[in-house]
Amino acid sequence: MTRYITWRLLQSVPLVFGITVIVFLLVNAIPGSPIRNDSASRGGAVDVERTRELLGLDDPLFTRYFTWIGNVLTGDLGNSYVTHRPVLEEITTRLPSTLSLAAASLLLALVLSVVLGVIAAVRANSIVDHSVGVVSVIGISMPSFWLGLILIMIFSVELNVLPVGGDGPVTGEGGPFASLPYLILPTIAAALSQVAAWTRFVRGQMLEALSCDYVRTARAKGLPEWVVVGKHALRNSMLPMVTLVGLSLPNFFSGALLVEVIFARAGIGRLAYDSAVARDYPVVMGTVLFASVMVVIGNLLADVVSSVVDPRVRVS
Amino acid sequence: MRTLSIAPSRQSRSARWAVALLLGALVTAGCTDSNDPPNNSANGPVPVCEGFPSGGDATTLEPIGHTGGEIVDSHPADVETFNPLLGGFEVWEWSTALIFDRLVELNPDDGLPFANLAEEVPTTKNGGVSPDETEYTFKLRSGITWHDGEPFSAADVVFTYDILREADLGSPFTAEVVDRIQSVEAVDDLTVKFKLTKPVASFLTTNMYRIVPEHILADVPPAEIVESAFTTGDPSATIGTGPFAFEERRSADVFSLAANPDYFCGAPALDRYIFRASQDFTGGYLLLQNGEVDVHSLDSSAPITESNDQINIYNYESIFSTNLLFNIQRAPLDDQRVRQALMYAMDREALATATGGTSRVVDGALHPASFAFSEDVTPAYRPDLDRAKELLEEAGWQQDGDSWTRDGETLEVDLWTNSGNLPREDAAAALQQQWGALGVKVNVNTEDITTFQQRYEEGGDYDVSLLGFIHFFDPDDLNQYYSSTGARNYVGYSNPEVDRLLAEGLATTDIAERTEIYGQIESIVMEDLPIAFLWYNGNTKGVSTRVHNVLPNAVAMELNRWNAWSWWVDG
Amino acid sequence: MAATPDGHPMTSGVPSANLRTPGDRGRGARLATRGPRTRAPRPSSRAWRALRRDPLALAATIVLLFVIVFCAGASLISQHITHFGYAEQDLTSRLVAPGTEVTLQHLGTDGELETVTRTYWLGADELGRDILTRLAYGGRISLAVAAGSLILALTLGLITGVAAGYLGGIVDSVIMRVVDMVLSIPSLFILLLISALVNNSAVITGTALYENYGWLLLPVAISLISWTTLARLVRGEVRLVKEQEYVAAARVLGVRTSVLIRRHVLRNIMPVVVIWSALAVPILIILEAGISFLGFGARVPTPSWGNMLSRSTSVFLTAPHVVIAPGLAILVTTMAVNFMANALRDAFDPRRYR
Repeated sequence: MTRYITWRLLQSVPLVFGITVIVFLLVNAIPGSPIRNDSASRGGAVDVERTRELLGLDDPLFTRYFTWIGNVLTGDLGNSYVTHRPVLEEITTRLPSTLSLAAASLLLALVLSVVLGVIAAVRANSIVDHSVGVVSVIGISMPSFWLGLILIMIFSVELNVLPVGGDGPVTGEGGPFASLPYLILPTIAAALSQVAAWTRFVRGQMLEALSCDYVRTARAKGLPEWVVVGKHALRNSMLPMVTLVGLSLPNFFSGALLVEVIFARAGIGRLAYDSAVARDYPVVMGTVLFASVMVVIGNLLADVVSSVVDPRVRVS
Repeated sequence: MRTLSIAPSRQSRSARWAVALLLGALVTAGCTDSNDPPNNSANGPVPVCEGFPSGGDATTLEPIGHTGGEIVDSHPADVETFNPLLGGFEVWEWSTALIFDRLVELNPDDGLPFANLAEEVPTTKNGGVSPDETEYTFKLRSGITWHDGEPFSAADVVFTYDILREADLGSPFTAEVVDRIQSVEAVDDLTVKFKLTKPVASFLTTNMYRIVPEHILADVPPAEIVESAFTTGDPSATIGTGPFAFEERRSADVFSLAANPDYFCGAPALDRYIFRASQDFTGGYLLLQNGEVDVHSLDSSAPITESNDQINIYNYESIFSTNLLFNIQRAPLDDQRVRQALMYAMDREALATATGGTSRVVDGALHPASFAFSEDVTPAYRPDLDRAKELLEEAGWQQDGDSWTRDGETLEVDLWTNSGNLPREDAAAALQQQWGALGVKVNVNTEDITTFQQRYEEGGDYDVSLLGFIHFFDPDDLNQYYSSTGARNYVGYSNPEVDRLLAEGLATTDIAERTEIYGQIESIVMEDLPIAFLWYNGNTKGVSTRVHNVLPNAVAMELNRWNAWSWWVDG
Repeated sequence: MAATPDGHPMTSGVPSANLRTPGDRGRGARLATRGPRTRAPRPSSRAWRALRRDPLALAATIVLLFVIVFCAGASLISQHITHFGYAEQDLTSRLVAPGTEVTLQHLGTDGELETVTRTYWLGADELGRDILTRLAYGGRISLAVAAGSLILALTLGLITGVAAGYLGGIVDSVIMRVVDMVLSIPSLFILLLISALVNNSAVITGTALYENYGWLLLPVAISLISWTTLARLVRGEVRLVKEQEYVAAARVLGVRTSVLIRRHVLRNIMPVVVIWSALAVPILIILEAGISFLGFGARVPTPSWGNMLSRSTSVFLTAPHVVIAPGLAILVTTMAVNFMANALRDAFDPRRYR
């Protein structure tokens, strides 16, 4: 198994480098790219000079990428034109917010999709199944930012039970759980579109599992239905779920961006948006890289977990 | 005598303060032993420093009813840096205005200077200003210390103005400092002398920059100051003399300042000032309503427009105006009559209401809080479609169905503005419609702010540009736009008469004379019309009723920080 | 594991290389056990039947057709039904509620002032523009951008997928690695970067090309990140088809590769491509809405459902109808396409237990 993990790790490295190449090409190849020409940018002369150093713009064409990569590997992603702090610092201070949102919405999506998927599979082709299907489609079809707005309109404005935005109370009171109410609405908005897709998957997997021989055997053995469903069928269906979660990560981060903007959370997604608006290019570049690396790591973790749990994966 | 624009609710507020003062006086008269909290000013009448304004509408302070507590301020703006030398926009005032001080500050009642770090405002009468008005001598108050305990002295003032001359610093003030100030020297520990290159009437209102500590920044190369801990926010480096000291950067959106008990005008009543960046005006209003923040700017989308039990509303003009640049270098707008016709075809009041809510339409170019502002500028362009048509005909255009032609050409105008600013985009669309009613075809184009700036700054391809300007209260503000060498004279307007009058206006400090001169200038430029002033953007501020002595007003920009030490909140 | 453009997994009967589930006996087995019919019905008639049979899908098709007609006929609607232009403002009727009737003086075609009564069926926005009319015009942009991105993504995805699947070897490896890389970058992040760079580039924005066709950049950018899942899908299918005996036979017979590809490969992968397209359209619509909402898509005064929503965040406290209308439009349209896609998928996938 360590061989599998090592192999996957090694696979990830060129993947990350490939991503850096894509970003580098984008930034340099777009004609008149404002990050390359030191006119048109938010930064002052000092900032722009720094970016030139970072990107190796003073070097000959072929070594530019290596200069930049060298900088990136030492953690130097440049400085923000707005706050003049290192880009990496701007990103890492916002990491907890995005991670908590991602974790919470992943969890919610998982729980909801498993529950709904199992119900739909167990009651296949019934009205319950159809209803779950319809609800799933509604979830996929709803733009997350619109859902966020509607949630705010209902729960924050009309009913006034949940805060309208932010990460937590400003004045530092209330202890560690004070931030939880701030997480509720964003989590719902971010999770919903994933719930829909995953529900279908769980349902499909469950249906397959329920038609398998070992389930028939378990039923023949006289095991109660919920054990059959919950212990046997479900467990086997969950294994590919891990990979599914990994594959959904890019989607999660994109969704998180919009949710963070609507709910004014200080996360990486909102940082990317604010910087794009403020023409703070080093930060935008940095967030793209960072988010991509997080996706790769997430996929790696998912594959590793999946290989630990499911021996079939290692073999193939 | 010009008047401040005061919303009706404010006049009743003066009455309320008068009652409060009376009550406060009665209450404190009855108290024999007020509890003395450790490091805040004791309850009671607000101590007012010598030389500080008092008694006016924006300068009458409620006595302190409670010490301790925090105020949460908020605005849709990113928390950027804490270095007062790097920015001139109101947004950076949130932090720097509380941490750092100026030699003189502006009196919010009349926009004229009062003594802050200096003991008194230098004038020709008290000898602080030389007879030829090129030398200013400031005597500093004694006993002022920096937040880290180091004594404040003339050396800090000298250092500040010297470092501002460095181009490497990246400060927007450098050009003007180099142009106007020849030298700054410390005559002794508490006396500073400025030698100007020429008499500058607006020196005391436009060139007073917040003083930074020499002992912190002297060893930092100017080019590196922008990245230093002093700029990015660090309690041991971001040191000032103001009522609040930098405490911590709590998150990307939140920072806190702690009260400075040794502030020269008295220890602040509050323990702490917290700033929280909000996402937009709507979200901010919700935060205000929920009590999560105490102060927030509001816009026309806010459901409340009048003060109520929880929130007090203040309306005032901001320092930003919305303007049109006319490309006078080419047809069709090289003809003054066409420009005037366009002005007459506009209904600025309707536009302003739709896109700004509380904006103030002006006929001239001066800010309403400026002492030279006048309500009666001529020519005043009121909506008059018939006059507009007359002017077009005079200019040789003929009405052809619902458009205008001349020598086979149709009257068409390219209107440019920047994207991403929703009210401004709306205004562009509305202008298209209003001018369309005149029969002028308008093509609206938007682009990102950078390319847009390049377009109009370098005399590019546009007929009309819709943009915003920032102003200061001294009427010399007109110089930047209308002087042939003005820094913001993007359209290339040149009128020797205006240049002459501008120079005259700057050379004298006599208020009456200056008012007269700038009045003349306004008439000329409104006739010539290279730039159209649409309105001064209005600002509305919502302040929680639990907060006292926070008085937003046009001159003091946003929060009236000159009296920050006297802010207090209910217990 | 195949996935639609933004990572939504497709659980249709497409086997994946590393995701074998119990009971999965492979596609060949499934093809073999399809039943007594000697010739499979043509895909198009299968599709129609699927849509007809399922009442939900039928309703969805009708709704989608209605939406398309509604948007295509935007100018007609504007002229004859609502009597508002999409950019026509009335600053005295800002934010009025849905159903409000206004009477005003309007300059008629003969130059005379006439009094007309008009109704804001869905209310007015912050400049007094009619929301219903703007929905129609906005739909044009949203649907056009989605369609444009789809076509471009199809082109890219098909070319790379077929190349990777058919040619195999190093071409396959390289293309699949690139697919992995692009897939790992979250879509909105990279779209923001591209948009910020392109729209602030003095060189690009100065050209006449940009002024006239600048809006095309959005579908191009969106397609650049959406083609990847299709490529993977196509590659998998092509590889399967390539291993079929009849293909091997054709090659031995000397049939030209291009003919082979056209006749055998493409025809066989078409169903999968169609399903992917049907599932991709809603995602593309939502992606366009998202990027326009952020302000990096359609520009003033062009309405799009996305940018109608971005303006609404500042007024929803007093005028919620401004938020609800564009959002519902997006929701209804994407739901319709999704239901249709589900029906299509069920029709083409014998493995599903419906």
